[in-house]
Amino acid sequence: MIRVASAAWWLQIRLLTTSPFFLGIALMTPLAYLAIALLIQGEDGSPARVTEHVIGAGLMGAWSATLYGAGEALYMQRWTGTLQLLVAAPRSLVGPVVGFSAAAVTLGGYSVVAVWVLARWVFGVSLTVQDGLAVAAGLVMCLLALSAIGMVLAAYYVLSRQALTVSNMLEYPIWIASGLLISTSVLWSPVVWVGKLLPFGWAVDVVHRGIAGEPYVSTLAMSVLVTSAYVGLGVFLLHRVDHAVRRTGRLGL
Amino acid sequence: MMTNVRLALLSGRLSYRALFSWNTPALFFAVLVFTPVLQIVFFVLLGRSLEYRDDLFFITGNALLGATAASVSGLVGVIAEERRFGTLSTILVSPASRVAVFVGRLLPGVVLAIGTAVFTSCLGFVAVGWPYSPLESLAYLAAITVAAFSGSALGLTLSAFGLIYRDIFQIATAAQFALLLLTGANVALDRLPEWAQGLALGLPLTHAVAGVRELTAAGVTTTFWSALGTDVLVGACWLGVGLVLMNVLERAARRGASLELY
Repeated sequence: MIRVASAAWWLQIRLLTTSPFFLGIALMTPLAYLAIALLIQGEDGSPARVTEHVIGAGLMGAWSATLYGAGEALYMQRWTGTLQLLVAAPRSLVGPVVGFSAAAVTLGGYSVVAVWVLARWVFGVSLTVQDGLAVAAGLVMCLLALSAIGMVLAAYYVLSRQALTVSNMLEYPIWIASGLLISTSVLWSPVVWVGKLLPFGWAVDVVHRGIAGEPYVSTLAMSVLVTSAYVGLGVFLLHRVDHAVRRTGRLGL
Repeated sequence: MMTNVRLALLSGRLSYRALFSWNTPALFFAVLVFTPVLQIVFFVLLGRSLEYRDDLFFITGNALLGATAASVSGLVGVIAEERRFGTLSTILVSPASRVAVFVGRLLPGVVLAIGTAVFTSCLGFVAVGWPYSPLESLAYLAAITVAAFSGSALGLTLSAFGLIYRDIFQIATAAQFALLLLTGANVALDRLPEWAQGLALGLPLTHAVAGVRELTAAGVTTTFWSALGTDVLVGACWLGVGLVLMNVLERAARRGASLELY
């Protein structure tokens, strides 16, 4: 399965990096929102707040890249008629889907790094973190959490012709619930709880704690736990979807 | 003239019906309402988080932005999808007016964008307390309509590049971010660098947003109508550029035989 996942990852990376649209989305989305946050904030922002905005904007781009990248991967398989071949192959659907999700998240990683570099170059801001290890661990968990969410979404995308439409609807909810750019103190409590149901929300919290120098180990542990649960859920759903589409024979519709 | 109007209406009706071969109506309307509402919620919360302006600033700004952005991406999407389905060359070899065909396909989208902007505004106004008198509400509706018109004009200009360039959505995305950032919908113009303020004056929506800010602060004044008039003028300029570009780039695409490339 690792070989299949690696091949799918490499194929999808090559496809995504030749698409100006995806490269643009991964870069333009975070830059535009970062610019808005910095302009709104003006001179008032503390270094920690500015750092949260730079990393938060990069993670917004990472979520957009995951959402559209994972959706587009299966949409294009359906569009070109190769999704049936993928399902009919004597391999689990999990391998390719993990590869596709990981490719989208890799593009998300590019988004985080590119925004960091451009923020320094264009806006002249630098990152101030109290605990670099916590921030690094949080960022790694963010990308793993995005992969896990990508797997769960992929199960739906295999079944649905409307992957891209659904992708459009999911961008803002995760940005809001995960506390990216927006302080969770202004969110309504049910929304905060929705964020706690997502592995991404916990991972973002680890990053924020690292920036502020607060204790983070229990949050990191929760992030690992919830991400693992999402991976398990993704594998379960993909197996169910695999059986369902074989039984109903409606994949080509 | 009547032939072109008929062509535009027929083209719009057919393409709108075709939309539902790909989207279920329920999901389509969910997207139409859900995403614009969440965009407003996101910016309202961002404003509260950074203690910048009030909720109404973001509600009106993003409602107008929604009408404009839908108009921009609508027309770009028309040409991009025609190219994707391989039908762009069929349209261009027909003796029908291209502008009538493409604008016709945009019309349902613009009407829906205006409807969505009105709906999201109403939701926001109910949440924060209705800020306008009946007359001012009508003036606000006029501002939304103007924003949709000027956005469509920009969309026509950008979509012309779809005749020679495959990744037209990239241009549309860049334009949408420019509108998000530079028009005053989310950040007051005086916070932008000077060069960006100059650029903003040539964009659709900037003057309509300024008009709505005036409407909120002082009611229906001559400054409000003047701002809306300027936005119409900006839209008319983009429309002129779009029509010329359509003509020039269609000839370039025919000469280069590049329409079938995808």
